[in-house]
Amino acid sequence: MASSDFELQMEEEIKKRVEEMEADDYDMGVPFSKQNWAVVVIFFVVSLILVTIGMVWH
Amino acid sequence: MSKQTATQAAEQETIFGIVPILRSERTYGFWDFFFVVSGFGIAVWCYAQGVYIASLSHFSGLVCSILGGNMLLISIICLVMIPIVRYGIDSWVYMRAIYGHVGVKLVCIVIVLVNFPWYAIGADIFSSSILSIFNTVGVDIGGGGWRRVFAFLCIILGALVAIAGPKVIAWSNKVLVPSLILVALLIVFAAVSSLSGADIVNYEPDLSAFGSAREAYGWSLEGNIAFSVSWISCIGALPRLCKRESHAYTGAALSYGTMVPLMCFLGGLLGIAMWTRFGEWSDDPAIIYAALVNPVLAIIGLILIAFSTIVVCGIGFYSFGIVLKSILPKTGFRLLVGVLFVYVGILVAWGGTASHLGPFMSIGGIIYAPVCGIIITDYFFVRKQRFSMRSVYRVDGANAYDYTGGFSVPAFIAFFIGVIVMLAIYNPITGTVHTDLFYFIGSTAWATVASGIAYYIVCKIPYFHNYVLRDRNELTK
Repeated sequence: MASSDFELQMEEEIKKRVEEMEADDYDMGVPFSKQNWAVVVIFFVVSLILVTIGMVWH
Repeated sequence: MSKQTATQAAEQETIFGIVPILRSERTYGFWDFFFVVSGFGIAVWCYAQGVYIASLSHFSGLVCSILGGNMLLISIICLVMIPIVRYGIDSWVYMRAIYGHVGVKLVCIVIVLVNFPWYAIGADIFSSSILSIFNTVGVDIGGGGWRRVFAFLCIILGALVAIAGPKVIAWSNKVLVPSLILVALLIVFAAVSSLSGADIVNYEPDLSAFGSAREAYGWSLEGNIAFSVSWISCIGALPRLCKRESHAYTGAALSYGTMVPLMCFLGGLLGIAMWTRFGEWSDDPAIIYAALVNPVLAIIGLILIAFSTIVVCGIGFYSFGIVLKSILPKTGFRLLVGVLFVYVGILVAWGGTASHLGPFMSIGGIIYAPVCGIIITDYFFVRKQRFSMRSVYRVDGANAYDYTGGFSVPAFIAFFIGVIVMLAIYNPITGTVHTDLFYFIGSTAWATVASGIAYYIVCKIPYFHNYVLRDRNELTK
């Protein structure tokens, strides 16, 4: 497959997919919820506590 | 597989790697994604990282630094999973909106350059394993030159695996993860059987090179944080296949922030065992196995390590070959793999990558830190979680992200501010620490925060605000 054919194939496929996703409004069904954000905060806070404990012990 | 077929397969793979993935094409649930990412992350370089960190702190510091230091920025960086899953695109595709269509190519190439030395370390581990197998069975072939020969053999085999195409890669990956798990079990056995729990918990590293234990702990934090931000280079390919944003975030955070550090911790245990029993720090699994376990188990472990390093090299050549092909579509895939081979070959010939692990990670941090800070700031605080897919892909000539000759001025201003902050705190090339800020959370974390704040402030300037957000009239969501 020539590179130009490869690029053309890619461009056509991309356009088709972008239009399809726009029609669906980029809806993936289950958005990132408040509970998921709470998990983010927990991960960050727990790691910060661990790092701080190490600083205190040294 | 014929040359044309392998090239076609790579091009198809590249197409799949670039186009947005539709909702109907998503295949990964949480556990699928978690195991695939963990398998990629727990490679043999974790041993080198674990031993390096163990040499800098007592046991409590080892635990706090490895687990806390890795998850600290990973918990934030993994938020990039949200746009990746929502829009079904690789992070490098999204970064066209940040850096411009030409700017992203420059950043991508630099990232590949600072990331690929890890494969030189892998090649070094491979050669060490092979030499140790020979020694264990009583065959003396010397060292020196043969070490480099075997290292080159590793990267040659890795390049061949990559060129062989995605089917060979997929097969290799299926045997890689069980191999690494077996290696990890052998590690635990080697460490635990040679020491008591009290020996491990109460080990005393030699910190005489540092002013204090606190100072050494600061270095260990920098080592872990710089290690964690390096995942930004490859974090964006797999999550596109996830069905949910939350699955991708939690899977990635637990993989990069917990599984990988646990593997590093196991490496640290091996290092502690060597230090406690023999008074030397060694991150070479070949030396460690030979010293701590019986010859049969040692040979099994070394064969597994040798095999896994070839596969990891192959996956690295293939993955980064695909990344480079996505930004340089007219360049042949084999040529790109060849360029990567020459680059890592130069590092293998030099032979000094492994002994310069700390500075190498911090040099990488100079690049990774601003990339991490800017991408989070851009998506959540500047673009408010919306951007134009049409301009990202230039569909029907949409050009909101062409900026100035293909480069986004605000992004590169913020990038260089991050670099300057990093170097103002610590220069990894000279090894000079300029301020005590370094001993709190290292320089990489400060550079990440500084570049993110700088980008936000620059984008608040009215001219740059309109410059960056010229995509608003293209938005459908």
